[in-house]
Amino acid sequence: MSSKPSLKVLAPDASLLSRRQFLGLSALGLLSLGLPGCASRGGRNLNIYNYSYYIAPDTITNFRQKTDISIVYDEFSSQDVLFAKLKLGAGYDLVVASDYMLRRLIRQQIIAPIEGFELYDDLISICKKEPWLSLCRYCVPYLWGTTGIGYNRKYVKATPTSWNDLWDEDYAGRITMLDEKRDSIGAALIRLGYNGNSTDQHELNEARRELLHQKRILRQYTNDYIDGLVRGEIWLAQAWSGDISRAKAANPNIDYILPKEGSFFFIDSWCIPSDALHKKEAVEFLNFVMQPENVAKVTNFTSYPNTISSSRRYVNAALIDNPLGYPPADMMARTFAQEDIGANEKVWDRMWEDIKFKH
Amino acid sequence: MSVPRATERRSSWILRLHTLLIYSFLYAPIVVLVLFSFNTDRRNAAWQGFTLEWYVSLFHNETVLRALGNSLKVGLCATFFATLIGSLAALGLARYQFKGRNLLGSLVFVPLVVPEIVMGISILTLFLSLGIRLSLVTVIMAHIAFCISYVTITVRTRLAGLDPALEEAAADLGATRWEAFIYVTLPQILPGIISGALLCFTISFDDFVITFFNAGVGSGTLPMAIHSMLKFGITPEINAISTIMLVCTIGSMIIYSLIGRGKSKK
Amino acid sequence: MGSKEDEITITNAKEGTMEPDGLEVSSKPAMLAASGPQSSACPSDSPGQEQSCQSGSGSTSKSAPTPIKPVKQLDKRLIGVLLVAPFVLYICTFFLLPLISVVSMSTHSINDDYMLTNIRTLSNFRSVVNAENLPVLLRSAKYALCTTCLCLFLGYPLAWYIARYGGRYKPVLLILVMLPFWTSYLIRIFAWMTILQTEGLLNTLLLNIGLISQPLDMLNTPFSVILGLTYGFLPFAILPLYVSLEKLDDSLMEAAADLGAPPWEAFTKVVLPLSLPGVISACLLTFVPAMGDFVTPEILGGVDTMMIGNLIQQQYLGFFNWPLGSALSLVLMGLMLCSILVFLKMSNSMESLA
Repeated sequence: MSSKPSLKVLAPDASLLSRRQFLGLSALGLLSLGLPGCASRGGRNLNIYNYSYYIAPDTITNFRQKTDISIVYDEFSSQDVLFAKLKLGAGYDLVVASDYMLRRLIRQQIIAPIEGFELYDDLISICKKEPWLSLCRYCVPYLWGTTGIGYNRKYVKATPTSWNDLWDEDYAGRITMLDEKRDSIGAALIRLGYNGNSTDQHELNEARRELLHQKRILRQYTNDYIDGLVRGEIWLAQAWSGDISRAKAANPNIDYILPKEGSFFFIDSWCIPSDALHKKEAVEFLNFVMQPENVAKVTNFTSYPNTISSSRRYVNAALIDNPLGYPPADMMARTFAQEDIGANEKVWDRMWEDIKFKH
Repeated sequence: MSVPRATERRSSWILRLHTLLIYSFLYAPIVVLVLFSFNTDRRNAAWQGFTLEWYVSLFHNETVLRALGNSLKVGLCATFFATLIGSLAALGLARYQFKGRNLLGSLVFVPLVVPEIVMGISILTLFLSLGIRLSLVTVIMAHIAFCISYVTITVRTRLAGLDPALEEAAADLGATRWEAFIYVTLPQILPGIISGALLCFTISFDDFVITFFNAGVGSGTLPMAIHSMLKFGITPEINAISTIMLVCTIGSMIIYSLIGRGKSKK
Repeated sequence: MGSKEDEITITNAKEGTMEPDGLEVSSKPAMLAASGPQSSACPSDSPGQEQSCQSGSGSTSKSAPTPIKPVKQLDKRLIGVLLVAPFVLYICTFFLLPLISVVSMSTHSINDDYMLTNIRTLSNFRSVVNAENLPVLLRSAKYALCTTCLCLFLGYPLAWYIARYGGRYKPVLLILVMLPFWTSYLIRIFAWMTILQTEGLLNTLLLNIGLISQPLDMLNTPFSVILGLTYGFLPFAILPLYVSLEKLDDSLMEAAADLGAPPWEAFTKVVLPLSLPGVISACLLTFVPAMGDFVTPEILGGVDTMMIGNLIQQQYLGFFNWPLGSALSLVLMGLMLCSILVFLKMSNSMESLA
């Protein structure tokens, strides 16, 4: 008598009055319980984690048709997200990492050396020199691009030429900077005539002052500027080349320049995490996606140049010698890589936190 | 006597206007998103022309469909278990005396004060240290964790003003405690339970942060899919899927109320 | 039999001493009402009821008419424990355990490679409790407070309307409040961007009415952040308000009116105090999540609207400084707990005044 009622309390759906209300809910709950269990079947799998819009729309489909590998393809929006997931071991077999992230991943042994990739010889010349030559043991360079200024011609009358234009008070409230410490602090350093990868405390302090000065007229620190540019909310944005290409497709008034003081280029690469379960399949996919014709399709879709030299003849002519795609050689000469700043990363982090939050 | 009536009428008029304004505030973005699901402009920014294109392409968008399926599974499972556990706890807290009751009363608030991101990461650390592979199930477990408190609080609020004497009276009239609960207490707290379940589903269906950390390969939910689209602007396909869901919800509500009316007429 | 009696006395005594605990406020009416079943044992209805109960209960059981009563009470306690057991188990596994790991994490330090080291330190807390973090914290509190107030002022009349005038449309009206929230928050925020942008719907509307002559710049300002937060948390205010208002008896207002109280006074003296549990829940359910939010300021915010949630997120994800992020979160959680306690104490005294 004493324990029975209490047990009944634990199962209210067995009751009379509650039945109508609860039955539906519990049935739904129990039904859906059975569903999540259908994760992995036997056979060959491959779990890919890439930036959004960073592959051709038919790449995955084509690969599926060629092999028996079933692919789960997930997308992320920023490198931070990727690093968090990799660090925690989310179970991906192939990911795309930007160059400064790559070095951190290697140092922390989060990614493993890649064996069996067949197209190393076809990589562009920069990947055959140091530091990329040694980095390539751990990665397959994929797409590259530049950091510059995207602007809307409808509002910005004089074509921007220099980083100074992002400090122009006439456009107060309409300027955005990238929410990436390496790009924003780097741009401030370059504008001052210093090395964009500087670790000199004095130079960094000056850059900090410049950025704080700029913050008064800034709209946002953001990497999601495409939509704002297209809508006319943002007029000038520190931007990545391929992004502006997408924006330009939606709004022809949008254009892109590489500042005359110089700028950065970046290379994003495929990596295989050390704890990946399907390394063989990952390499198989790499050998497929990096085929000159296939990777040219990616370039044509994303506007980001790729790292396979013989793919150039499959690339849309409009992207050649275009700052939005493959910049002309004289422009490329003014760009440089974001180098590993090692232990100074923390100094930059503190500075970025200070600029972004404390003032 | 007529003066208070007049003020009463005026105040109820103001109240009605206020209600209308709040509903329009709540629905302004909904109207926009439904409208733009029929917009030819891919960028979701300005009206260009009518099309059904996005509804067609939606059914070929594997990512979005998978994400929607995951979201529904997670939302329903989490709501079911959180409502069950949370309501029981509310009953126990409000109606029964036991050691540590007051301590427990404060424990209810713990999940509310933990910032989402901390919750997401700390639950993830738990899964990892237990060696549990991330999947949809881990997402559901995490969702239940942050949903329970909402149910408990809502149901307890409801219980707070109810008179237990009613239950006692039922017992005096010869009902077992179980019967008293079913016929007296449950109908009274049902609105609280339903509100709690609604809250749960809403929170779970919409959660991004905690899902983000606890989702494994291929178990991304709709908010995650949308978040990865933010960079390039949300495609109208998302508007289309939201519109379909709205229509389904409204439709099932109408059916439900029609059934309810038929029953009450009998 | 005798030992059981003793146990009951002990728990009752505990109950009496722990009752003033501020966090119990929302169930206080229930506690007071719960004296109903005990009323045979403790007929006193005075404010000092609990004290008299705890001393009385032992003696009454001796003179109880039937020996069944104490058994029933023990049984009741067991049911209570059983009812809350799954909850306790779940919360302990998914909150207390992870919280312990957060505390432990906050005392770690990281090396130059962002790897955790085994050196334990309190320096993370030192860098959190730093004057430079104060503006971010104050800003978050300001936004969260604005949001809470707005939600209450906008939500209370609506909840009141639904509860009092909703009639048989009550469920429909209530679902209509929740309905917008079954479409993703992110996409609704995105729709707000379309409404608020310079060439957006709101500006077009205002320009056409002639209220403004220049389009307003509303996006990426504190205004848009508070608007987004209010929009996001309004239903979490409306629901508990409705729940507490719905069970109010209509005759209460009528009785107050019959006694000559003007509507306003009837409201402040009768309705408001009785709906206080709902108001408290509403405040908690809006203030706390608003304080920790980071998605809204990230999307709708500008360069000077960063909230504490953004800082935590940046520490965790951007800089991968988990120890510092943990320390920050712990401080934030402590502050929230304090403000909740203060708030509940305040409303507690308000309630007793009313």
